[in-house]
Formats: sequence, C-alpha cells, structure tokens
Amino acid sequence: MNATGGQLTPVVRLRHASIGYGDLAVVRDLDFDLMPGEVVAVLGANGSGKSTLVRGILGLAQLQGGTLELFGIQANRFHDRARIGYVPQRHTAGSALPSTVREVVSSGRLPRLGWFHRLGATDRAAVERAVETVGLSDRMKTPVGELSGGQQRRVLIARALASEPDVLVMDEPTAGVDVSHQRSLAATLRRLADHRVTMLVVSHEIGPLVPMVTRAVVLQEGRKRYDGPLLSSMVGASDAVLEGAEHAHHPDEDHEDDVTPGWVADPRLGG
Amino acid sequence: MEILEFAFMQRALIAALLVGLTAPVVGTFLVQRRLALIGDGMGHVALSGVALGVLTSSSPVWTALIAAVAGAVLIELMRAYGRTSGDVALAVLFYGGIAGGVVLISMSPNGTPANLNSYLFGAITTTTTSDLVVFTVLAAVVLGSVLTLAPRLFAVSNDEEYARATGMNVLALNLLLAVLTAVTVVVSMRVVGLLLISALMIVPNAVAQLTSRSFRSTMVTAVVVGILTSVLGVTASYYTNTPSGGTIVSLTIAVFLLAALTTAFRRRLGARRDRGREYHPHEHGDDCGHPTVVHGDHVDFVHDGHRHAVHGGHYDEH
Ligand SMILES: Nc1ncnc2c1ncn2[C@@H]1O[C@H](COP(=O)(O)OP(=O)(O)OP(=O)(O)O)[C@@H](O)[C@H]1O
Ligand SMILES: [Mg+2]
Ligand SMILES: [Zn+2]
Ligand SMILES: [Zn+2]
Ligand SMILES: [Zn+2]
Repeated sequence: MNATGGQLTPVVRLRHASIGYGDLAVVRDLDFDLMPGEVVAVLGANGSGKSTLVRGILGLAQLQGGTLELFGIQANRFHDRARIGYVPQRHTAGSALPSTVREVVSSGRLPRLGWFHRLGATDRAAVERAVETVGLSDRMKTPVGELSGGQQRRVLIARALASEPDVLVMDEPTAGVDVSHQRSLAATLRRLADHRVTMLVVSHEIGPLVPMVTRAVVLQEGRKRYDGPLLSSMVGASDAVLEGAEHAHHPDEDHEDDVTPGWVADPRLGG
Repeated sequence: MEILEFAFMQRALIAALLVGLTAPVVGTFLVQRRLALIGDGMGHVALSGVALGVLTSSSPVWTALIAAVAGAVLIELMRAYGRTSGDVALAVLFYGGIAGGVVLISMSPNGTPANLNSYLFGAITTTTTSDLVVFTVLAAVVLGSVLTLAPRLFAVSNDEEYARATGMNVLALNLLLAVLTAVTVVVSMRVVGLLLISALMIVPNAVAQLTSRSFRSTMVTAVVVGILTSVLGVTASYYTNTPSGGTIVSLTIAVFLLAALTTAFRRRLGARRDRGREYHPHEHGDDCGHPTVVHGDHVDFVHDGHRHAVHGGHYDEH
C-alpha cells in the first residue's frame, strides 16, 4: 500500500465487477476503488448487495465478471490475508461448545502464523490488545455464548483486529452495540484511521462514525447509485432516507456500559 | 485383579484406553462443527470394508481403514462441491455402506451373525496383538495431527466462513478432520463397534460442555470421561458378558444424564438466587445516557423502546 512512483496502489480495486452466488448476480458492473487511508461507508437498503460486495472482496461470494485487485495484486493470487481484517454480518458469535473470548479472538491471529506455528508471546499480546480495544479485557475467560449480543459483536471486531490488519472490512460492526460502546468503538476506529488503517464499513448506524468517514457509496439493487462525500441527508435519518423505512428497534439489543474500553490498544496508535 | 491375568483382557483394556482417548478429541471438533453424526456415517461405510475383508479373508482392520478413509474423503468432497442434494448423497453412502456390509458378510463362509454382531457392537475377545499395534499407531497419528493443528481446526470448526476469509485452506482442514474421524472409527471397531463409535465421540463432549467454560477444558474433560467409561465399560462387559460397545455407551450415557441433572439442579438454585440481575446487567443511573421519565415516586429509564424502573434488586417494565 505504499506509494510507487508517486502513485498510490488501491487497497481494493473493482472494475466492471459482478458478484453473486451460483447463477445469481447480485452486484452488477461495479467500479470501486478503496484507497489507502480512506474510510468508506457502504450504504443502501436491505438486500441492495452491501454484504455481497464485502463478501466478494473477501472471496466468500463469487466474482462472476470483471476484475478484483487487493493491494495491487489479482485477488486469486493474493495470499497475504492477514492484511485484511473482516467482521462478518452476524448477530452472535456463539457456537456449539463453549469457547472463551480469548479462544475466539486468537483465531483471528492465525493468518499471521504458518501452518504449524502456535501463538507466541507477541501474538498473545496482539490478542490482548485487540480485546482491550473493544473493552472486554475482563471477559477474556468468559464463554462467548454467555455474553450479550452486543458484546459478541465486539468479540468479532476484536478477532478482526487481532491480525493487526492494514484494512478493516466491517459488515454492520455496530449492529446491536449500545450507543455508548458505539461511541467508544468509533473513537478507537478513528484512532486506527488516523494511523492510516483503511476501512470499508457497511452500516445502518453510521452516526458515531460520521466524523471519520471520508467517502460514501450507496448501492441500490446491486448497482452503485452514489459515490462521493457523505451527505448530511445520509446521516441520522439515513435509514429512512435510504430505505424509505423507519428504523426498527431491536429488542434484544445490548445496553451495557459496565466496561470502559481501552482506547490505546494498537501499537500503531502511539503512546 | 483377576481379569488382568487374561491376555485378551489386557488387549481389550489397552484398546479401550486408545479409543477413550482419541474418540472424544476428534468428537470435540465434530460437535463444534455441528457435524456430530458424521462419525456414525463413517462407521456404516467401514462396515462394507470389514465385510470385504471377511469375504476375501484379509485383515478386516485394513479393509475397514481403506473404506472409511475413502468414504470420509468422498463425504467431504460432496459437502464442498455437491449441490443441494448433499444430504441425499450422504444418505446413499451411509446406507449403501451398511447394506453392502451386511450382504457381503452373509455371503462369506465364515461370516456368522455373531461375527457381525461383534463388529457392530464391539466384543472384548476379538482384539488381536497385531490389531493393537495398528490401533496404537493410528491413535498416535490422530492425536499428533490434532494437537499440532488444534488452533486451525478450532478456527475452521468454530467459524468456517471466517476461516475461509482469512485465507485458511478450509477444504484441506475439513478433509483432514474427516480422515482423522475415519481413522478413529477403525481404532474403535473392536471394543466399541461400528454402530456405536459415534456415541463415544459425541456423548463425552456433551458431558464436558455442561461443566466447561472453554473449548480446551471441554476437550480435556471429554477425554477424561471417555477414558473412564471405556475402560470401566470393558471391565463391566467381562463380568456381565454383554457386548463391550453397548456397555461402554450405556455407561457414558448414564454419566451424561447424571451430569445433566446435576447441572439443571444447580442452575435452578443459581437462577433463583440472582433473578432479575442476571438478565439485566446494565446499571441504569444518572449518567448512563438513557433518557429518563419521572413516574410518580420513581424514575424510569427508556431504552430500546421500553421503560425500565429500578425496583429493589431488579427492574420492572413500566
Ligand atoms: N448465500 C446467498 N445465496 C444466494 N443469494 C443470496 C445469498 N446471500 C444473499 N443473497 C441475495 O443477495 C441479495 C443481496 O443480499 P445482501 O446480503 O448483499 O444484502 P445487504 O445489502 O447486505 O442487506 P442487509 O442490509 O439486509 O444486510 C439478496 O436479494 C439476497 O437474497
Ligand atoms: Mg448485509
Ligand atoms: Zn441506562
Ligand atoms: Zn432493559
Ligand atoms: Zn415507572
């Protein structure tokens, strides 16, 4: 992601991209560049293809046409996956058997390690910093299934941070996270952004992220309808404007403010 | 102990120890992957291998190993590349395996119903010395692979899609787990039997899950339960003259029921103690940021579309 000959290499570059599942093309003919240091919000109604776009970038949905480059390398030849941190759109992180916060977040560190390597001291420190960033340090040994929905979302964010990625791709990272933790997460993300961590964020609740968003992309039925600065009409009542629907409350949302998140958790954030 | 004087019992007990150790370890990942019953399918497929061995008078352990591993690879490839009819394809393989096994064994001159029963439900007298050598090597392979790759197997079992997004070779890891499951099935074929082995992969984990708070401790507890019940089960089957597999599994299930009852009882006590607090851990207060509504003699806090009033140690809905 460094400048080559004064020219920046895009972190993500899509050209005439069609992305979908099987025979179904959901995202169609999309041109999109994510430049180093940018924080791009992807907006759009339910079903407009936001998750499909993100999943296509990560290789989880098929690229059916066009091209995808990651850090200047053709996606199918790009192997340095630790540079990309991914927060999937899921409400919970629970599993069949109990797994602790430490165990789940540690799995985010694996892309930094070789096949037969185990987590060393550096890796464990990175895992602990990632958990501290989302304010769950005192829950390290708690089974993830015993956490509230919002806390589980924060575990998934920590898992993405554990590999100390250059770009964070987040699909609804704050859905179900209470307002106060949204604010502190936003503060953390802002500090990461200040240190040139690139971000692609899908969110219905961009409110707390507004100050850091450098660009917005609006999808509608799989096509790009807007690509430019975030407009005030997209914030706050964003859902109403974008979807023509009223914001629904999620009764199962978490609303704790029992933990003070650590704000300085990544070494790149400086002292 | 008099039973240790018999060489066949020594072999059966060592085989039981190997099974009790490996089956729960593999099972921990299978349960986490929500594929608990795959071991059962591989037992079915292995039966065809056993039958081929009996029919051709070659060692049934080796033919079972070949059949089970081939079945495991086929199942994983069908899961990875198969279309919607994946379930049906699996069913065909599973029932084809057991039907073929039963038919082939009945065709063989030395295939008696008693013979078949011992393969299906385990027997303490059937483990030979050469079986034991093979089982020991196979168990060492399973444990070695699992312990080396545990972090990755955990990642894939816990969240396959995330593992794929981080560039892990998900197919290779899934294939490995399937092959290790097949190998474990073969290690278990003498004392536990092909129809019951899956139980020893799953039930110890079901017990462990009730008492553990981490993946690692779940696995350790499951192994302890697995070793105890398989060694005790083999011993008991000597005295009761029952199929060892059936005895072991009955014992494991008894342990599970006991653990489940104890846990339910404890939970009920615990829940009574801190009802109200448990489900609403947030402490509303002057500066918690939630809008307030003065309501007669108290204040309600509004969040997520409802109004909560602090009342003693709990919150009322107003
Ligand atoms: N795994 C899948 N297989 C087939 N079709 C899918 C799959 N996932 C999503 N789709 C389809 O793709 C379309 C876009 O879905 P997508 O999840 O990208 O929307 P979204 O913009 O993320 O919506 P939301 O705001 O609800 O998260 C939907 O019509 C959906 O039916
Ligand atoms: Mg989505
Ligand atoms: Zn409050
Ligand atoms: Zn409440
Ligand atoms: Zn009230």
